[in-house]
Amino acid sequence: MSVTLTHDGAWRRGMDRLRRIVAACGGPAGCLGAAIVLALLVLAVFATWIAPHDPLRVSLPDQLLEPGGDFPFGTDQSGRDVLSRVIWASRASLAVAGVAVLIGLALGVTLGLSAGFFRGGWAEQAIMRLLDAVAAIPVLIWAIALVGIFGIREIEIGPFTFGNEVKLMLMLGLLYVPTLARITYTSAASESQANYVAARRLQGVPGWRIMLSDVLPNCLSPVIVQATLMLALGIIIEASVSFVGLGVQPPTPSWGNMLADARNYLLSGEWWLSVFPGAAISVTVIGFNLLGDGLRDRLDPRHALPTVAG
Amino acid sequence: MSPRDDLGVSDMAPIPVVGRGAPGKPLLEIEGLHIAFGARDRWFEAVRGVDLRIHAGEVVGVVGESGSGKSLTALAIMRLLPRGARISSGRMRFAGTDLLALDERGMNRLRGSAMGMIFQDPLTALNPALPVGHQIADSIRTHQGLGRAAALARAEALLDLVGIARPRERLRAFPHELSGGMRQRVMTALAVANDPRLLIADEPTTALDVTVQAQVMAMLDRIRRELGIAVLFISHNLELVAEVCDRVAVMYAGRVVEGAVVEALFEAPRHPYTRQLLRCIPRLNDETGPMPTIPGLPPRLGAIPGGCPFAPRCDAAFARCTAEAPDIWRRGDHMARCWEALR
Repeated sequence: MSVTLTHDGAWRRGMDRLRRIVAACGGPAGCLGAAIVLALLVLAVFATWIAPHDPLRVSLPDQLLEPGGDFPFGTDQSGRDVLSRVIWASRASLAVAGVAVLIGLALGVTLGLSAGFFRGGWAEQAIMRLLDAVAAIPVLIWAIALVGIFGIREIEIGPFTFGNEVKLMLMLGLLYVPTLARITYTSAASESQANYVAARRLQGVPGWRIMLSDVLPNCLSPVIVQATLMLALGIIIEASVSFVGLGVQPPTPSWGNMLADARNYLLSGEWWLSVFPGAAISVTVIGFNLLGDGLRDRLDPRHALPTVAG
Repeated sequence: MSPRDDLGVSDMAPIPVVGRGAPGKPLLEIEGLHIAFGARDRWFEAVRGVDLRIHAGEVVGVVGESGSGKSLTALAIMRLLPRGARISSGRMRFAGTDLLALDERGMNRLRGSAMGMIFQDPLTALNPALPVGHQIADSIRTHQGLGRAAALARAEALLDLVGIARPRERLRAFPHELSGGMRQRVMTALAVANDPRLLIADEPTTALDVTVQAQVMAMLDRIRRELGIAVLFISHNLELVAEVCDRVAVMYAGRVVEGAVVEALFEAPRHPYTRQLLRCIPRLNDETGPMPTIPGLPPRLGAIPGGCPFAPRCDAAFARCTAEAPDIWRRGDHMARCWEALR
């Protein structure tokens, strides 16, 4: 560098810390992904305070205003603020994708780990073949088919009312199980052959404890990477299902149902109705994918790229 | 029908290998141990009647080529044979307990507490995802029911015992941060964590280079003296065995072919296999010439010749050797399974 700013230690320490953070996310791209995901989380959690308007407030005089002034992203056909709706919609998207991945992880890792660790039994075959059968049909098709079968009405169980989102979470979660189970199964099966597992047996540790405390931690890297990528997939699926009207129900905003409304204005010039929710989906998915790729570089040495010495 | 009948194994005379004046009942007593590999109706015996006794505080060496059944015997004591292998007959008593009658929970109580084991490859025998202190403490907590802090304190003392510098810091080290010698030391700490009476060391130094080998052996020897542990030392390195063992058993094709106090074995070997093995130890001050070897290969599993299995490679074999399985020659506590010795 031509300009020597300062030899100040604080500056150098700051740069070192920055470099470590970047390395922890698996490089600059992964770091960008992490930043996007973090920003989204903040938007979703603090939507109440961040959004400038009530996303549900209908104001007929403000119909279809162009971006600018009081409405930076414009307004929709009911005069609702598009910016506020985009911000609020991140809640539905992240909640559906996040809870679905958690459900998938809980079931998939449990099944895959036990099938991989206790190999050679009928249980292993039963679990894995059943999961293969589920995985034979694409997740989006499953999701649409299942919502179609169970309907979009709210379900009341005792004092709780479950909206359509909850059904979507459950279904997506179940549909994630085969992939996560198979990834866990593959690493668990090979890790279970490892010498340290034999060593643990020689130390008198019972099998189930070896499985949980030794094999599981060694299987997690590919699972974490896959889970991150599945968050991106979940957001696309939530948007797609909401787009065809089987997901998040109006008036609750979702990027998918906002796009569905925007369809009618594609040719009449109100571009902001489709561009902003669409961009939100793209940025979110890119963010999760970058983060997933970064984590893979970081967690899986086989995919590690050589770091460029600077 | 047991696999033994298939193979026509007949001689099962126990070999009394009594320790150097060691009185009383042996700590570990193995009689007629047979281990077979296979499935359904095809079984091959890899260990074909091993008898072994270890008294408290004694070091017994087992030497033999790869595939002679020495590691299998060790794993059989732990009752952790590889998939497809099983103990087809024999008796094993450890400190008054019939090992073959114990259930899995009973065995788990013995493994890692009364019986510890270290093996060849310390590089892969530690969990790469966990700090070594955690792994040692976990084993202590499994067997002694100590709290986390007490177990970690004990782990620190153990690392100190096995000669690891700055043990408190090393508790937090991951296996990949340690050298091979240090990892074998950690393995040893794990093996002796719960005050075992018997330590099975299966080629503990084979994967290490020679200088580290000497350090690790010295460490093992010091610890077993300090703690009064009996050691079953498995090796193909005769020199190491000569240095550390009280008694030695030489194995060939799944059987102990010669057993004796270490001096007797090295000074007056009775089995031609032992003699030929001793001839193969390289010496630096020897006259130059080709390195002596034992011609041929050990018999393949399932194709062990009748008579003496070593006869095809033996330089002293005669007609009877290929015809009949050898009787046992015995003088005091020296035994050999050989016709030539009986002549």
